[in-house]
Amino acid sequence: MSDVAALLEPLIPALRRYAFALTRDHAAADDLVQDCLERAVSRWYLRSGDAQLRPWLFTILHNLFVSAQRTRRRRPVHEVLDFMSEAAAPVAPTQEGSLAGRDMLERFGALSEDHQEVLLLVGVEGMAYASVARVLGVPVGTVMSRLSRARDQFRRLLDGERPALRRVK
Amino acid sequence: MTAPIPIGDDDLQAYLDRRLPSDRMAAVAAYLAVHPDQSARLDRYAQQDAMLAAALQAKLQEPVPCRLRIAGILAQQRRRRARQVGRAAAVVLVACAAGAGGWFGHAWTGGADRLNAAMERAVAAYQTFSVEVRHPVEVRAEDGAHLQQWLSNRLQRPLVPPDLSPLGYRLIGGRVLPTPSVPAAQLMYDDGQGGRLTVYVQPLGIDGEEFRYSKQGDVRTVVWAEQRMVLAVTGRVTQAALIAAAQRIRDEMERRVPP
Repeated sequence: MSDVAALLEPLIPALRRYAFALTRDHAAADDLVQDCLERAVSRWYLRSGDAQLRPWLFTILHNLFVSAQRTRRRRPVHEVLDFMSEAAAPVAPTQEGSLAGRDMLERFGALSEDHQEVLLLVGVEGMAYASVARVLGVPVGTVMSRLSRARDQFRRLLDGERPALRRVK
Repeated sequence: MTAPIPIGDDDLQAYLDRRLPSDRMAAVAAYLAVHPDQSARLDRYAQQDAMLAAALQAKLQEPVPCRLRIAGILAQQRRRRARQVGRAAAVVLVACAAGAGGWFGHAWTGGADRLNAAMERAVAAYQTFSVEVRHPVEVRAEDGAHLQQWLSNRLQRPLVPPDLSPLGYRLIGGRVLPTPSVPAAQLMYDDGQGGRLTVYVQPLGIDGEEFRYSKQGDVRTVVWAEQRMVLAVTGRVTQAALIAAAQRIRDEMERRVPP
């Protein structure tokens, strides 16, 4: 039984980082990770080999995150509006290179969730494209095109463009 | 000599992520040397990846809170499992009492009769249809919206097929089953190796019935009732796999906001 702990525990910091980047809320992130670990432990016999453990865990976390978002969107209208106005709030441009962590994450949060996930898994977690495809449940080709759009979109947000607006040039 | 394969945006991304084979790596490097705009674009992306990672660095180094310790999670799950085994034992006792001494068992099992009847129908439907290779379902999962709407109409209840894919089961589709009252539904799942699991759903005015487990030959079923529906998961799988599926369905139903 303790080998479960030995295999899972080294991966927890990365899971927490991923969950925090998506929720930008410490408690909500740890709730997500706790759910993920509980599921992983109760479905331990369903994992496909210890080498695939990391993508498997991120898949569980991704699924939990997506279904939590879905529930959140199904709630009464005023909450949905609050959520949207928060996401669409203009981000004040700051000077190049002086982005504090919090500001950086706020801008990151203005990306669509699809884009956030692919940037985190590839750029921060350093995961192989095939593993990312598995985690997100999409073909590798979709990962590639999503990654390209996400990087470009993120660049615009960091440049201080408002997410709701299209670039006019 | 064959013409070189043109450099694509996917090559550029993969170059940045160091995911290209070395010969391709060299081709992209040569391309970037003469396309400074693309080279600058990639530098920019690398910089923003690094900034994002830096903004999250503190989270990675934070001490892990107690509630995320695996030992604690394992212990909690052992306790939960022990409770479930306790419940299963209670079910067996009630069933024995009902078998042995008529009225005594009956008094105890009020809703259980209807639960047992539903369980028998679920098992019969599993045995009838899970062996079908060509016609396992009436409406296939590919017609997702249609399947959901059709079953919801026939059952007179909004019905969303549970997602069992994290457990390795893909939804094939569903069918309507006759009962003495409102029709029931059978959803069929496949594990990709011919193993099948069914979820039986019957609208019935009972609620709050805990998991009951039964085994007939090598077919196992877990049945319970919530939100005025009887649900049963049936398959030729281990008891643990069955309970995991039942728990997932229950979790999903609880998470879903009742209409």
